[in-house]
Amino acid sequence: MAKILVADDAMFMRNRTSRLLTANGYQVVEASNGEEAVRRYFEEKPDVVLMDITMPVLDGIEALKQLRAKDPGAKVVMVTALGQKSMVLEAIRAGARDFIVKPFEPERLLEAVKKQCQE
Amino acid sequence: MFRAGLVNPFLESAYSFLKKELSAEVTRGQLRLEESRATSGEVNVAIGVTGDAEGIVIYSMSERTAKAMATAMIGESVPVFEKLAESAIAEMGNIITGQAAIGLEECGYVCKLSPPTLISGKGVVISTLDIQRLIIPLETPLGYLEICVALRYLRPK
Repeated sequence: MAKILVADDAMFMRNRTSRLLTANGYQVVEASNGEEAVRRYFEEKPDVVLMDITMPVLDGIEALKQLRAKDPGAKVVMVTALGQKSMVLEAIRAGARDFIVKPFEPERLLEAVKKQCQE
Repeated sequence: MFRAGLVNPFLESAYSFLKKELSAEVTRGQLRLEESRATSGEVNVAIGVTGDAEGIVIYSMSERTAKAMATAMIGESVPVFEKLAESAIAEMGNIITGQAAIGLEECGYVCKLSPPTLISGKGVVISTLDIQRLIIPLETPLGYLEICVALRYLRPK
């Protein structure tokens, strides 16, 4: 069973995403800010990370950079309300594998997770 | 400098979110400008904006409306406005502002947003200091919602 780390400061969004993933056969671990996401990544060794951008303590882009610096193979998909072109480019440059803008269709998220798990 | 024309990204993103996530048809009231200091609704989500436009966007509503909207987002009844419901309403503000930021960037204003802050209570006065606020009144079947856009646009295009 693939393990997914869901990093989002919004409890509502973590619940919604976790429910969707669990119902589709994934194991889920959660983090509520970027710093916690980095820590949990190395504790839990998830297959894929779903990372929000606007988070307290450490934002998602900085967390992504820290993850990729320590593990260049980290598979991180950004899931964020910030869908501006400049933000997408910044995330891709920092090593994000995919970029999903909220509110997302469940199928879009599941497809992105499945693709990253298969690569 | 205040630019009323840049209200469209907020309108479009609010319409889109409310229709898609809450299945709510929206009727817009008359836009109006207010001074910075005003009494808000019982539940307010504030999102800070920095970059080529700076200030704050506030989503203001009654607790009854907040509960109805949270119920629609969560898919379960929200008898008490507790943590999960607060998070849902905060995320609504985050997503609408995030979508609006895409529109602002297309108009030439690249912005970053702060995590949302929830301010609750009756008769709360929120001041946006020296920035006037543009009020977007929205009537929905789930209740009345006001979007207060208090932004200073720094790089006119």
